[in-house]
Amino acid sequence: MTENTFSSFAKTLATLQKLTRIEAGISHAVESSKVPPVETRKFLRAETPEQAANTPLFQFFRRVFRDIGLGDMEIIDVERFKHTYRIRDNPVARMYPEIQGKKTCYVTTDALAQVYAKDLQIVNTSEEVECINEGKEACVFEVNLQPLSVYQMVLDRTDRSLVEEISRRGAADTRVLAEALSLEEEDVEYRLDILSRYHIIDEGGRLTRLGTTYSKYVSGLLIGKEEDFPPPWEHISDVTASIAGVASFAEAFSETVESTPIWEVDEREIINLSEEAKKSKGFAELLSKYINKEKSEEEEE
Amino acid sequence: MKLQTQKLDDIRFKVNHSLSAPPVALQWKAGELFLTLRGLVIKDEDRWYEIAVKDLVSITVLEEEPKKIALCLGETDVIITGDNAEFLDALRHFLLPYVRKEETSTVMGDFLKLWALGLHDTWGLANVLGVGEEVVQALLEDAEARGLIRDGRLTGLAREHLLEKDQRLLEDMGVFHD
Repeated sequence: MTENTFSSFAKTLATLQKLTRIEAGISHAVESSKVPPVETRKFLRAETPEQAANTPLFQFFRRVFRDIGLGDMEIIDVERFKHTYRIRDNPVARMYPEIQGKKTCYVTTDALAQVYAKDLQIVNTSEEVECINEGKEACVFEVNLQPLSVYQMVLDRTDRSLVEEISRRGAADTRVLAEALSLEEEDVEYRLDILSRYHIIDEGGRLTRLGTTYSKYVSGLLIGKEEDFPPPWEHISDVTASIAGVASFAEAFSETVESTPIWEVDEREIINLSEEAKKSKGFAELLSKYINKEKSEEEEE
Repeated sequence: MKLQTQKLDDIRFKVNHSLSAPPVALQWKAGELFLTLRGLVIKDEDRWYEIAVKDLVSITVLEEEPKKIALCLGETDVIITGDNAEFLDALRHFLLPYVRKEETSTVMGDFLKLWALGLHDTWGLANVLGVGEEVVQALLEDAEARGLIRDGRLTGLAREHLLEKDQRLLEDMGVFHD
């Protein structure tokens, strides 16, 4: 007989109940938290975890994650195409006390992936790289950002004008560029720093191969007016109310499940799909029989 | 023996069996999803199908709207859909930590497999493996130094770098230099 995987119905259902509530929270939060590109850009341009943590975008999602029940998230590393988060005392990891030596926090990984993809419009792959249930001190998540997605988002219209100007002039000269684009020299220096960080220009202020490609192709994808709308933190009370509302709906669903009685089924009546599949031919025949039986029943009707 | 079950939700489901040709797939059916201490069972009128967690190879989302998740048992997939998308997501996230991990291939494993299949050209190997020619050269030197390849053939030591299914394939082909 197959060994049990779960220790009790009560514990398993409690975990499923908590997860359903979290899923409902995530789905509503993601739906109501689309971020305008101008704010996403500020976040992407952060060069240190401290700078990123101070953006309204991060502070908003930190609160939303906490309200949903995903724990208190810190951003601990920012690279051009990778952001790393840590959750100490992770409530999701605590839902799996029976699991040791494995990562468990798939719901958090998915939540991060959805926020980046749907709210920030950044294609990404997310993964949990360390987990408390593996014996680590905290759960750590990496969000790998698709470079094209980042390049489409990280430079604004003025940056793109700078790239075009540099392309025309052959090299970046702060004073000349400031005059040409009617900008403060300080502003130009800051923007050149960003272009250099993203390898659009080299140390000599000339366009790199990547910069040339960007100016030819990627900036072309950005023609058109950038969407502008209020950031979700301007209506944070609506977002948190929505999370609370769906949580209570999810709770109601779970309570119905909890109150369902336990049934006893004769083991002989149960078909183990995996074992049957191993007897490939027989199982295929079994399924075919069912299909044929159902077809003939339909025909008779 | 009796198996204890507790109903989770009403669902619709379909079973795909990939080993049969053409693949057998039951049409979508209404069913009830139950929890057991071994995993899940689906009740389809008077039939009960068990999906033991220990047999699960992967759980993936097939479609977002309506939410459809596929519980893969190796040769068989059970596809489930239902009205409560959040519950299906929760179920997937709940089961994932228990899922048996599929073996993953390594560059050395892939290199050895291709070598055994007769691809010895550095440029060709580099392209198929998606690495530089110098990496292919280094892999070959490493494989020879560690005794994985001798006299141009794979030795038994190479087995531990290969996926189980590749080991079986290459054994059937008699490529090992034992």
